[in-house]
Amino acid sequence: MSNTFFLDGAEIPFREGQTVLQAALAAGQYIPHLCWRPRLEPHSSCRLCTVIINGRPFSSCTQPAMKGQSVACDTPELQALRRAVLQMVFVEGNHYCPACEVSGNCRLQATAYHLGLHDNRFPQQFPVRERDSSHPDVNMDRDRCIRCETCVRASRDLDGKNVFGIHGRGIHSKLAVNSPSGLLKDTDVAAEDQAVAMCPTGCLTVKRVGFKVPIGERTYDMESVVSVALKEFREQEAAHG
Amino acid sequence: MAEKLKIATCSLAGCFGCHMSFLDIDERLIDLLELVEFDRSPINDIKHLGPAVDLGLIEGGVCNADNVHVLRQFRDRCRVLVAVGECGITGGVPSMRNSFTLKQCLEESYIRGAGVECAHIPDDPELPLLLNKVRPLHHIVKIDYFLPGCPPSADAFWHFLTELVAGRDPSLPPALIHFD
Amino acid sequence: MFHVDSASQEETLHAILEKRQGGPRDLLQVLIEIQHAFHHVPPKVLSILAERLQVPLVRVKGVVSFYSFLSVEPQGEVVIHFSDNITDQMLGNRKLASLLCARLGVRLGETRKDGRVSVHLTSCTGMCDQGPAALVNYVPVTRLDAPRIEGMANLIEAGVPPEDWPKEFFAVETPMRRSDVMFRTPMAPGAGLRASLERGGERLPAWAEDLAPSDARRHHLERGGAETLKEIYRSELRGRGGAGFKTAIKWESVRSGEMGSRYVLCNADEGEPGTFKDRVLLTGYADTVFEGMTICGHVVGSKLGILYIRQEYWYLKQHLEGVLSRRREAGLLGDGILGTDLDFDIEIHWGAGAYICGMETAMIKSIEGRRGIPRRRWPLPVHMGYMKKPTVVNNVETFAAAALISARGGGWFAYNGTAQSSGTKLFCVSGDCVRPGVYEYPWGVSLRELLRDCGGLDAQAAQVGGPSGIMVSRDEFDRSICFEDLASTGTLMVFGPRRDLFNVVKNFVGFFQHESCGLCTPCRVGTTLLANYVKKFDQGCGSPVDLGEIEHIAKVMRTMAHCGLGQTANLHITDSLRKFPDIWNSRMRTTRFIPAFDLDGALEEARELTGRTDDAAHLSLEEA
Repeated sequence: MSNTFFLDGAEIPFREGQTVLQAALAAGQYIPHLCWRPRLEPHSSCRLCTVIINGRPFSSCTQPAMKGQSVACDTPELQALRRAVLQMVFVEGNHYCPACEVSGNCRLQATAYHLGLHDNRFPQQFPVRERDSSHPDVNMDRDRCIRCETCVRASRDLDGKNVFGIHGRGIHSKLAVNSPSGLLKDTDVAAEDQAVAMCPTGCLTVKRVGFKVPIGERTYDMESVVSVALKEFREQEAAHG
Repeated sequence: MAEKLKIATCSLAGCFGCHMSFLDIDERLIDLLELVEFDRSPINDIKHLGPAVDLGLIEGGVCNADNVHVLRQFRDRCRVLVAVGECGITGGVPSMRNSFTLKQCLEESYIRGAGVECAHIPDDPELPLLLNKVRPLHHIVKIDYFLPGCPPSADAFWHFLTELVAGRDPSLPPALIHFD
Repeated sequence: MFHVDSASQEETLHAILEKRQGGPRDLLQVLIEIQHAFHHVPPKVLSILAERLQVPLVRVKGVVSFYSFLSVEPQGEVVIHFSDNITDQMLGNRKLASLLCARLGVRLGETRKDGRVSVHLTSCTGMCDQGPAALVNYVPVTRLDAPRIEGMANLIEAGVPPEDWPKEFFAVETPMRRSDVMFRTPMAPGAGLRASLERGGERLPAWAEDLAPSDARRHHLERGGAETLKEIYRSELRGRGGAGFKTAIKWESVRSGEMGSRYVLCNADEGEPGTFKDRVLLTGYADTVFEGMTICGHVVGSKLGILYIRQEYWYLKQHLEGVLSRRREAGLLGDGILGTDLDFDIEIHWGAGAYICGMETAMIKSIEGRRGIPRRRWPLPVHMGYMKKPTVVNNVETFAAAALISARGGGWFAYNGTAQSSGTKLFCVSGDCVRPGVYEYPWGVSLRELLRDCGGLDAQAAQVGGPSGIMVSRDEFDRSICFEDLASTGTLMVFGPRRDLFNVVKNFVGFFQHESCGLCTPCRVGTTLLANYVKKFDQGCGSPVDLGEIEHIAKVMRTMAHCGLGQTANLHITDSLRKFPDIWNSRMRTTRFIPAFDLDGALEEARELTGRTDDAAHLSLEEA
């Protein structure tokens, strides 16, 4: 493996076709990300994985790794910009961690910890969005949706179902489901769906299991988002190459 | 010896949980008192804010007119103002009422709710009037620092205060940042 | 409401679907026809479309809700969209819209109870040189004034369908105020294409003479394309859509790309407010544009070109289809063009009200019948574009230039312009000037010369390149417009000495908030936060702290946004802060932070619920 590039000065090997993010994770280097997941098409929407290559910003989840290129990632300026983007995510929705059953299992929250988020800085928007508790096993709280479309992609590409989609445009865009009534109960979603399991926030949850693991003993109470993401990537590589 | 820093604290639309956690620094309170003295605070039960305070710590968001008055007074008299805890920073649990109108909230509590007798929305002039939305502190005044957590742990309080008093950046290390 | 009984509704729907292949790609085009037929997309139709076009219902609804000109809410028999660009606002469009609403008894943004009429605002309709403008059932009405509004109201109340309104209402002028080498003398249809085909040479080289006739013909065609590509290289033509990528390099990437289907897309979305050159070109020079696409088809080996055009130009539909069929009859389109083996045809696809679709990857998605969301940057459309095939996407003006380069030679074109910006360029001038319209100049022209020619030299500021471009002040008027200095799509909006430039900022920030596609966080949220801060200053609640926040958000958007929209949607704010600080400072009542909302107003609901009026039931803006 002779192809390498430089990530914050460290030499990172890569395979032809790998993105900067994939190569970095394969080498055990974490680049913050929320909408990117190992088994899904990149979406490039959360923008946290933005890196600077030759003075220009690129999302590392879509940027092909290229020989010899110099990638800046963990710089104070980029970390500050990532924090600002996360703060935008937090003020756009209603993310009340103390009252959320996925607190501690939430990738959004864990990523915020990792980036050192102390506050939301911008004015809270306090949106009023429809919640959907119609389904017997799955709950949808749109207040916690960050429009990463993980569920849209997972339902389509992993579950083979097309349960989710996005309606509207811009700040008014919202998570929608595939039924004439617009309700989750009339779709073929199931509690076992990857679309539900992979939601990085508390937007999609399985009912009646929220507090099986007590607060303080949850995924990100035990380990950081860095080790969880690296582990997830390694497992995926081992399973699918 | 340098003059001690003056600290004031209060709880607006909060639960006093942050204050309880603050007290959880236990015997380190004694070390802290070597460096600071308390002005208005529920800890010493001083009710009125002094004219010049170095550091104001505010727990809770802003839900009524009285909260606005207190917050503005703190801003005017405190050199450095800190929003403490989830409610002060985001509005927190009290701001979950923002998904409803004030009318819906009050009617649910005082008119139609379970167990209500003598249905009547309280209108005594002694009571602070509620804002239509619960707000985080930085919607009303400029906030200098934020100390996250619900509540921030005692260690977070300790780290934050000692760094700040020492004149350093009081940002928490990731391990001390918690939103729940 | 626009009444249709369900039997005839079904029949119309059937007729619309009949003409189509019936795949997911047809979705947007079918929805546009349905919207035009029913003045909304009836909910029942959504499910039928999902089934017929094999698209999940959630995605059908996703498409309907993405485009401004599609709606599930029934619209009136007459649907009016007032163009709301800053140039329209400067000409008093809001007053005229209010006048019409008052006259008809309908609220702006709503449909009258009897279903007779709906009145909306919409982003710039590309009639800035003859505004204020509106669309009436998707057809432009220009030069609105109070008498014309009165006339429209009377016609609507009398139930006269817009087809029978006076023709002068719908007059659209296409003045080319100044023409240079490109458009001074028109090109005869076919001249550029003939030149391209003839570059294959009279005779084949000796080694190729033994080839089978069909192979020899193909070789001839190939050689012609290669030679024309050399002319494009020689011309140093750069894309006219804004980014300024070298056209020849783009064409060559597709030409040498993966074998099989390749596509030529012409971007006539022209959504940048203040821009209307595509309108002028497609009206007066449609042959030249289509010819440029056909020549591109020759060079890159494509059989299909698609003109993606914004629905604001729906009134050009018949004209454009007429030009296409004339070209087919003349052997300039279709199979065996001009007796050679070149097969190429052109389809027209319509947009439905989404600025973002001017972004090439969003446009590709829109042509594929989907929500116009910009795709990730790699692979580039030249490698994987429309239908995942190698695709050229160029601007209308670029194709017109390419046709002229083929006819007249790359050297002819490169003679004009500057070192990095060859040739001449069209500029759309609007706003406070005597002679708005389209001007052709060599690149490098100074802003001062342009302003002098259009009669706008007393301007205090100009917006070069549209809201996503650069706001320039008087002391920059000697800058020249070219890629080396002031790069531009060719849009110039002029702001006279008495204009309050804060209104420009307000208009632009609202535009971007409305047009953000919503994909990425920095743009989706950033445009709204900026709009809220501008509102805060507008209400006199801004402070220096807020200015810092605005700069911060702008910086986040510039570095972190997914596409050009978000990266540039903040420039007018930072430009105005730097160059016109007074418009911000004069709106600050205090140097200390105050809330963005009315604190006393926030108690109003509680006062009503409790009936309290005492002093404690009020909050002042500030207190000691």
